[in-house]
Amino acid sequence: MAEQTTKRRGNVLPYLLTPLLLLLLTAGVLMLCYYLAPTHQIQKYLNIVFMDDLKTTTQTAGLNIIEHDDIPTESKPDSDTYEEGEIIYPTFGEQYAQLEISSIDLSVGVYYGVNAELLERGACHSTQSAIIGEAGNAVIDAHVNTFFSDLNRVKKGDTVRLFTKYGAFEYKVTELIEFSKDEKQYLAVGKDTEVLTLYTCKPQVIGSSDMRIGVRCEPVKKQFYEQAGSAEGGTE
Amino acid sequence: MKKASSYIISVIFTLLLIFLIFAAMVAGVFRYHALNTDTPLAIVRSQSLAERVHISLETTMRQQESTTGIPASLYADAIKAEKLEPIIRDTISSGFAYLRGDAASYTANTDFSELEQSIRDFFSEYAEQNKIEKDDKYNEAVRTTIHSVEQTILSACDVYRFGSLDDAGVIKQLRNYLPWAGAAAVALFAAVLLFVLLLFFVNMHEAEMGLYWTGTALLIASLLVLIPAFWVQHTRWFDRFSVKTDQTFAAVTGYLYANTHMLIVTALCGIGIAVLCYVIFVPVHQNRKHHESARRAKH
Repeated sequence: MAEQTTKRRGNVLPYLLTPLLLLLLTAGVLMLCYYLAPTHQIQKYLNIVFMDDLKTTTQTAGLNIIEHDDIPTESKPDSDTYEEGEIIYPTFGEQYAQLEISSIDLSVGVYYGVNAELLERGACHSTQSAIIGEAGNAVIDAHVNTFFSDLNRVKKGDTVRLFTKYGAFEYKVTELIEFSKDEKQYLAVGKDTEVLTLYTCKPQVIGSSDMRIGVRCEPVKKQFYEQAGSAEGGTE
Repeated sequence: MKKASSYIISVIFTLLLIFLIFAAMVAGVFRYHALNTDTPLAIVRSQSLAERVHISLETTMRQQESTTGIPASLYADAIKAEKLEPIIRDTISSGFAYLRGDAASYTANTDFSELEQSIRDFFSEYAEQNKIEKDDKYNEAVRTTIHSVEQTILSACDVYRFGSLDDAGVIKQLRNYLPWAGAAAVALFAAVLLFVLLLFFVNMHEAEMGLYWTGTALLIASLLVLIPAFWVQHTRWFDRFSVKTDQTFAAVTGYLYANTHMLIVTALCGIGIAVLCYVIFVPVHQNRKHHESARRAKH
């Protein structure tokens, strides 16, 4: 009787083990395919379409706004800073700079990324432009009815200051600009020269304006707080 | 020896059948559920997309009020949820038809004549009150405002961002492959059928073994679909997308969850059929073994 039961078990075992082994094998192959597949291409399209990353950490849905009220807004002595240094790249929705234009008594937080919610809170730095302190065109805009209401009063030669966690940057206004919203010449990233572009809508008594006004600035002084390569993490 | 060789061949065929069933399930759900316009259209209601677009537009119009000088109340009628819903549905229908290659454009035809008239009336009244001459500049301001408002509404109603996808060249690329999705699904199902027949052929002396291998392939393929799909659904994995626009977030995640749900349903059906295969296999096989041992005992 016991012999019969053992024999029956022996007969049944292959029928039970085979599916299990096949499951493990196919799951392994599929996982390998997943890791080898170019998933970064999907992420690229998500970035293009939604201007965002596929988050891998648990976060609340929607915009992740990070406000920093601890950005130092005073220049440090030159001896404590560096002309070239480490840039700490911000994430979308993060307030990563403080913009000051003393000639029009303006001091406003600069958020990385542009959307209606961020424009309500301060000036917005276009994600398609250069980061403050790196080569290229850094483009910042804000609403004409709020933070940049006096941008049209800025004159050539005025000083513009940007304070970030990784450095303080001083610019001089070199050009007053006016362009159509479809023209991208002042908003192009550029690669070689370092430029700061601030712009807003052209004030109009009634109706939407298709025109934009702004200023172009060139760097006068760069004060990085850390030398390139010395910061631990935080950079990309 | 013969039994061992038929076992090895069956294992190889089952292995291939697992991948074919897996691909057929995914392709089938993709072609007949994901690309079916009814799926995203059902999300318009389930995710209250019209209400979300309404709130978004209301905020935008309020923000623009101080910039443009045009009161947000002027657009109140045009951006009512019940008026936005047909625009959203039309945009989705045109967009998905365009994706499948069934339409030449993804833009929906929307009638804004009421809105245009109310903007014209407002400008006219404003010009008369402030003694502004209705010259070219005036006409240009009216035209720009109408265009801007219409674009704002259409953009907000384009919840799946067909505009952005097209600008980025994604739609063009997708349109090269998506029309073949139906053919691919049919080909995969035909291949599945072929391999099932092959398994029965290999085990023709023990026909019920064909059922066992088919059930095994179906069970494993269904589990491979079910486990990740269930995990995605259970952990609300798509909620980790941080899409900024509320209506787009709701539309995209709602759409992805609807397809995940369909994958789960398909996988459960697969498991059901696999269990049925086993249920038929076990008594038939036991019966055969019983007869064989009885015959052997006689001899």
